[in-house]
Amino acid sequence: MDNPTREINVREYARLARISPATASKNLHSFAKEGILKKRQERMLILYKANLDHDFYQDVKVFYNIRKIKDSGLLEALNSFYLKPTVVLFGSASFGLDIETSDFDILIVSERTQDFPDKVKFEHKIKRPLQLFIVKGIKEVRNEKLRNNIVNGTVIQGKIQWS
Amino acid sequence: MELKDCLHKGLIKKTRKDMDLAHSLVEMANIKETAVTKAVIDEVTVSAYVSLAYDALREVLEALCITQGYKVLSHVCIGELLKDIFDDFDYEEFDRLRWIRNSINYYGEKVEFKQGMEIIQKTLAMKKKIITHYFKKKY
Repeated sequence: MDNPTREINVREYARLARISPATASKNLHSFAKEGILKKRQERMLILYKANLDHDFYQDVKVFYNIRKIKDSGLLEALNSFYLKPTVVLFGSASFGLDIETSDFDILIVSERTQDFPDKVKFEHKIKRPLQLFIVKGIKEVRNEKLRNNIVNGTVIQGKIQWS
Repeated sequence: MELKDCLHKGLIKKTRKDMDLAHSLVEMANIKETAVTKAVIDEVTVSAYVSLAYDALREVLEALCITQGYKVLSHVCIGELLKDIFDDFDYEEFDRLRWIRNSINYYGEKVEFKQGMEIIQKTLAMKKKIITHYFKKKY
């Protein structure tokens, strides 16, 4: 999930998942058969990587991204600084289409619009750059493309209100 | 806490629709609002007035619950009940204001002046909206 474009072989997966190579092979083969993983052979090695276009993968990735934000303590820190703002994850991470180098685009709606002081700390924790858009209301977002991206995102906390 | 938990724990009690009590509560809420709007608020006192503004809002919501025949003993349950009764009740906004008030009252959090003033405005605007939208009697 953290490295969706990286290819992995059976032995490596077995070591990471702490399972036997036989079980690893069976699991990877089964995921590839369902289309969740893409499979290719290079000489003697069979390599697998995430199939970013697969519906199931995308759903799980969205869940993973939201949990990552919550488990990192970012939401609590935002609550403390912005007083329980509305928080929306949007862009590629909200569709499960993000890769290793993608930003996490997050809209914060609060009366307080100062920059988040712990941004860098959480970028290290989440291992992703954070793009924080801090506004008092969604109407403040003038760029139509950005606004459409936001309304198609995932509300993690609170709700977006036009009025 | 969900509505069923509120009922199960006895935090919401069925009572008679006491319009006089509801009226008194709204009047008291209005007095609290006056105290907030007439006060000279500064960086030091703003958190206390955010809390007082919330009290004014909560009293109106308690009054609303009473007009529906419910006595509610918990702030969370007020939101849960009203969300259940009224489809258009702004639960998220009320819950946020409750969260802020609890941060001030129970955890000693201080609110920044500008943000505090905006929260007070939002709280009193919600109170006004509740009165004009849900109460037949004009206050």
